[in-house]
Formats: sequence, C-alpha cells, structure tokens
Amino acid sequence: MAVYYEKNEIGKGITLTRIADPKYKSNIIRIRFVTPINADTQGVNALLMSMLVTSNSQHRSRSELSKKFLGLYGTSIGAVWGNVSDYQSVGITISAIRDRFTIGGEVISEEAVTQLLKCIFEPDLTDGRFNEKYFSLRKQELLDNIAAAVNDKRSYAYTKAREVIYKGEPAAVSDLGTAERAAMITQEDLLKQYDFLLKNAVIDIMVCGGGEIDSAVSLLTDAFSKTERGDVPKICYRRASPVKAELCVAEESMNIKQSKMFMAYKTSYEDIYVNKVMACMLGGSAFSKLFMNVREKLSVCYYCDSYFSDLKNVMMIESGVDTSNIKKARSAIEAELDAMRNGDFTDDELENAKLYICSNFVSNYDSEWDISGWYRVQDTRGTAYTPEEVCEIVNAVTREQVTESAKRMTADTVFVLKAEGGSDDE
Amino acid sequence: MMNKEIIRSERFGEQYSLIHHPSGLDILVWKMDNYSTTEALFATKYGSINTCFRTAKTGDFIEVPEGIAHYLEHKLFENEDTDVFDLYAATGATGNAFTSFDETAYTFSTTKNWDKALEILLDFVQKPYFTQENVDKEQGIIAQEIRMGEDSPYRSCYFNLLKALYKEHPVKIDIAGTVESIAKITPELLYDCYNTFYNLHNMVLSIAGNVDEDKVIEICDRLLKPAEDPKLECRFPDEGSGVAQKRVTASFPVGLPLFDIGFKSKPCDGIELERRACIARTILQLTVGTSSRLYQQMFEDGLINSQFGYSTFVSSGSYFSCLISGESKDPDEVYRRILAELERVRKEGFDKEDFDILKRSRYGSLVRTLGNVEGLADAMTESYFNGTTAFDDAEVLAEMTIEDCMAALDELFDEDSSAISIIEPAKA
Repeated sequence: MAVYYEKNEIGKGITLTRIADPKYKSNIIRIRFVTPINADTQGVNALLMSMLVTSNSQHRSRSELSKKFLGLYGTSIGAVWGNVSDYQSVGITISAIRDRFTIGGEVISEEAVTQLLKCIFEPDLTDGRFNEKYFSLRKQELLDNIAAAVNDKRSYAYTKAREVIYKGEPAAVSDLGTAERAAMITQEDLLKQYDFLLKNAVIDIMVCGGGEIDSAVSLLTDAFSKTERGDVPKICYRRASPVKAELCVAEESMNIKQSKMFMAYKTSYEDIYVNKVMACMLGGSAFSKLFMNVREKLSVCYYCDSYFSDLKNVMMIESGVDTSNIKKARSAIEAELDAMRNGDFTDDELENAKLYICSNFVSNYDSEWDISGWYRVQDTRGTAYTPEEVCEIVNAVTREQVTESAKRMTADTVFVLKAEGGSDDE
Repeated sequence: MMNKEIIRSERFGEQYSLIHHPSGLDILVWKMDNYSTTEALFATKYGSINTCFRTAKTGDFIEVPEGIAHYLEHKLFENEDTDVFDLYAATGATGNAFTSFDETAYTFSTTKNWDKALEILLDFVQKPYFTQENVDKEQGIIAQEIRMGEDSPYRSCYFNLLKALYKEHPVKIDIAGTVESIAKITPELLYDCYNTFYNLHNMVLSIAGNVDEDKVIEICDRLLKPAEDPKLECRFPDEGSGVAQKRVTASFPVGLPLFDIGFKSKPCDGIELERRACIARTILQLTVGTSSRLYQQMFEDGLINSQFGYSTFVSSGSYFSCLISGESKDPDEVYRRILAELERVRKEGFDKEDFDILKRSRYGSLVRTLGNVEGLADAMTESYFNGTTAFDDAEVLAEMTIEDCMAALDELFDEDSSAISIIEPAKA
C-alpha cells in the first residue's frame, strides 16, 4: 500500500500537506491553528472556531450557510478543538465528495473551498464586530458544553484525572477552559484572538482524498501565503511530564453507580515504540494481560485498558470498577505491570501484540480520515513514517526492551471518580 | 447445491455477491480493490426483542428472560479449551461482537491473515460451551456493564423514551436486560436460544474489503455444519397506535436538560421499509435539519445547540419510529414547536428547492459510504435481514418525490403516537 504524500511550507509557520489515493471517494481539508496552551484563551479560541463555521460574509445566517454546503452534495463543515500535549489545536474541517462522483460530473470542490476560505478570511463581521446574535448563542453553547462535560462520566473522570496528573503543566488545562472565563468572553477577546491566530499561530493545512482537488489547493495556497504573519512559536510536541516526588492519590465523589479509576505511570524511557508495544501487551487489546486476567478471570472491572501517550511519556491505565473492588482492582493491575517488569510474558504474547499493532496501523490506509490522522500524529513526532515503516520499527522490539520499558514506568497518580455511598473497604 | 447472485448497482458501478451455501447459510462478499482491511460479520437475526418464539421442535411459544441474547453473545467467546481472543491474537485480527435489539453479530477486522481469522470466526460461533460455572461468572461482568449503562444520562433518556413510546413491545427493555432478569439465565436456556437462533438458516456471513471470494467459499465448505431449517417463528405483542406515556422525566447530574422525542408508526419490511425510512429521514431533515426554518428559529432563540439531531429507529417487521434528540433549557418548548412546525407543513407543504438540495446531499452521503469497508459489511447484513440489497436505498432516494413525503406525513408524525423523555439536572 502507498499513498502520495507531500508537505510544503507555504508561508511563515504555515505548512500544507497533501495526501492522495485514487480509491478515496471524497476529499477532506483540515485547517488547524496551533498555539501554546493558555488558560485565558482556550475557550475564546474554541468559540471563535464555532463562530467561523456558523456564518460568513456571503451567507449571514446559519441556515443559509448550511443550505449552501448541503447543495454541494452534503459537504460537511465543522469546528474542532482540543489539546495536543502542551498545545491547543483549533480549526475547521470540511469534507466533500470528489467531483467525479457528482451527478453529471458537476465541479463542487472549488466552491466548497471558496466557502471555507470565506469562513476564515471573510467572517460575518459588521463594524468590526462578529454577528452579535451568534456571538451570544455560541457563547452560551460554550458554557453549555463546559457544563455538559459531566454528562459522560468516563470522559469527565479523564478530564479531572488530567488536572492531577499534569498539575503545574499546561496540559492540565481543560480543552475549553473554565466556565468563569467563558462567561467573561467579549467581542474584543474574539477579534483579538482572530487576528492573533492568523498572524501568530502555527497553521497546519492538510488536504487528503481521492483527487480532483488541484484548483482547490491553489486557492488555499494563494489565500494563506498572502496572510500577514508575525512571530510564530516553535512547536515541540514531545514534552515529557515530570514524575511527582511521591505518588499522588486523589478522588472525587459523585452520584454514580460505577467508579472510574485512572492510574498514570510516567517514564524516562525514550523509545516510544517500545513503550507502545509494552502498553499494548499490558492492556491494549482483548488478549492483553489486563483484559484476560483483571477483567475476565478476576471479574473486578468492566473495562481495564492501558495506552501510552508518547508526547507526554505517560502510560494511562483506566478502569470502570465497582467501588467495593477498587483496592482489589488496583492490586491486580499493579501485579500485571510487575509481571511485565519481571519478563513474565511469553514470546507469543510479544509477537501477537506486534501483529495486532501493525494490522491496525496498516488499516489507516483505508480511510482518508484515518490516513490524515496518521500523518498528523507523525507530524507531532517530527517524522513522516509510513505505516509500513513504523511496523518495521515495531517488529524489531525485543523482550528485553519491553521489560526495561515496564521497569522504567513509575507510578505517578491514582485518581478515582468514586460512586457515592459505596465502600472500598473490602 | 450452491448458487450465486451478483447484486449490482449501475448507478455507482459497484457490485457484490450473494452466495447461497448448501449448509443453509447465505454469504455476502464485497471485494474492494486496493483496500487493506477485511471486515467480516457473522450475524444472526436475533436480538434483545426476540424473547418469545417457537420452532418445529418446541411446538408452543416459549418465553425467555430479558437480556439473554446479549448474555449469549458474551458467553460464546469462551470455548471449552481456549479463549477466542487468544486465537485471534495469533492472526493480528481484532475480534468483537455486538447485540442490538434485532441482531447479534460477531466481527473481525484485520489487514493480515483474514483467512485464518475467518476460520476462527466460523468455528467458535458454531461451538457453544455453557456450564453453570462459566454462566455464573459472567453475571458479575454483565451486572457491571448494566450499572455502567445506568450512569449514562443519554442512555437513560433514550430507554425512557422507548418505554414511553412502546406499551407492549420488548424494544422497551434494555438490550442487556436487568440485574434481576439475567440472574434467571441458565446454561440450558442459553443452549435453547443458541439452537434456535444460531441456525445457519437464520444467519448471514458478510465480508467486505480485501478478500478472495473463492477462498471464502473454500473455508465455508470446510467449516460450516449443515443445518435443518428449524421453522423459527417469533411473536411480538400487538403494539397498536398510541403510547404508554406522553412525557417521562428523570434526573441526573447533567449540565443542561437532555431530551429525546419520538414518533411511533407502524412497522413494515422489505422495500417498503427502505422507502418509508428514506421518506422519514427526508421529512426530518426538511423540518428540523440544520438548514430548516425551525432549526434556525430554535437556534436563534437559544432553545437548541449543536447537540440537536434526529434519526430513524427501525427494524424489519418489528418497529418504526422517528427520533429527535438534544439538549435544551426548555425541552417541552422544543417539542411544542416541532409539533407546530409539522402542522404548518401539513398546511403549506415542503419547499421544492429545499427538497432538491436535500436529495443531492443524501446522494453525497451514499457515495461516501461506498469507501467505508466496515460500513459496507454492515450495510450488506442489514439489508439482507430486511430482504433488500445494499443498493436499494439509492434507488429509493432517486425515485422519492415531494408528494411521497407529504402523503406520509400524517402516518409517520402522528402527535397521538409521540412522546418526550427528559433528563433534568439533579438538584445538589
């Protein structure tokens, strides 16, 4: 398998990556603005993106803009935001079917990109202010989204755990910032961030799909290369989280039925692919030690997974557990990690984990969304490996390296979102 | 005697095979050139709603505990001598399974050794092993899964709506059952259900992506155990029109109130189901979709946000509902406005330009699915169980007229057969 891949700098701190494979039925364009995490502007940046996709200077109502994209064979447009290591990445994504699949070969790609560029460079401004009505609605929606974080208990627990795990680091700040800050956002804040992102953010443009996109790429290149740019930060996504002097144990209670436990281990072992193989063997699959032993044999968790975050050098183990089983589950999880440290695993376990990881990596070729995600992750590591190249690296991992990786994992934090009324004294 | 049909779409220039295997199993194969992944589903038309049935062997109808289909799915992964996940591990495949209201499917996804993974899939699904000990052990895991579901306000809102919409139909029961109902499950009951529903005449094997049809048949020839048609018959209570409850509320620790609104209508199957589902989705998009006037009004009045959405909830010959969900400071007002908008549309009709734009948009969605390996394996299975093909939705869409939508409005969106479920923020 192979795809066409090309990455070019088209302006100061602006890159355009093109990925193409004729088997894809659609083209997607992702434009991201990356800046160091700043608690004061997290919510403002997210709000700004949702404003930009609501209306533009040509289509000044949400339904008009929505109708425009629907007419382009259901081209979708959406705002995205999230933290990547110690940086915030916000942006806009569109997805359109290829021109060759429209009825009668109608060309829609140019118009889709034209509208996207209008959203970015010609927003719905009147007298230097964003559409007042939408500003107030989207701001309320931001507040609603912050309040709704509690609805999904697993992700809520993860957010709270992150605050403890990364205490004192930018990564501890939540994706959307606080409700207090969101409530204070003004039109001036929005406009200031709009100018700031266009001028000072690292801008990462990715075009990925089946083809018939050359003229759209020219439009993008032309628009962004003309943008006036100021100082742009140098981004280094890999920023290992320092290990705490003592294990931090924290909990929060909530009126829920099942407790959620997060155990974070930090490491100075630098080989990310060894760490990934180790985390996969421990709890990254349905044949891992945590799944087979802690969930299946001991039945103390409903789920129990581990994964390695290479940008922060942190291995996370998360589980859903009855409150009465918290201590039991923690001991059982620690015992499985000890087994990895002691080399208590078979060669088959190691080879099967590699096979599983590589099979999943190669599957990224089958979707324009997945392969663009793949190269985005590569980008955060400063590499541009193909899935096959990473498989070669993974296949070279030895059991000694895995054991060493497990040994170097230091317990840093245990956070439990605990079901009220339950007891873990058993 | 094996015979094969080619299911072709002239519109998209795509095709797949339907192979009638002599064992009684039908096999669907969609080869996708230049794709790396192979997705397979070995599925039975058996879900949480199939709690009352009979076969030539049972004679009379028998009833089984709620949640047993899901329980059976969990247990089938345990062979007498080994764990299925261990077997998959040596192939690189990711094995999984799911139980829905009307289907249970065992799946794998892989870019390596698909033939070996297929052998594992066919083997373990045909080899049940239930003992008192392993059935008892599963009670704890499933009880935890049920409890985890009880922590989800979205799930509670959804199931509360189904309980409000359906007076008798078992679709109102949670797929996993309850801690009490699963306590009644025994190895004997599991074998009864397995022998009834996991008969190859009631199942389908669906494979899409990087696959070789001849090799699939060779593996099936070797591993499928021929079966007699058990003459299975499922019984569902007569649901009729009207709802159990118009409005149901519960409280949870949530930010904004959540809501699900449902409109129940009569079930149907085959091409009629494709047609009505297409019309229902179109009406939903025209009345409450992001480009509709109602959406714009509710959005600008701060009544809805980006969480607002809609869907159809259908099963061949069993149930048919249109659902609208979201977050709102005033869900009752959202419900009232939707009913008022439907009334306005009844009088004034749909806008022809909006209708045409929407058809084009839906066409774009169908094109997108043709590049999704997992989506195609699912689409083949779903349409097979409905007695249609994976291309029928495109044909139905092409033929649908604005008049069809107007004619179906009263039946699909009857206020008397609608209900609302609300999750209110719990008081501290």
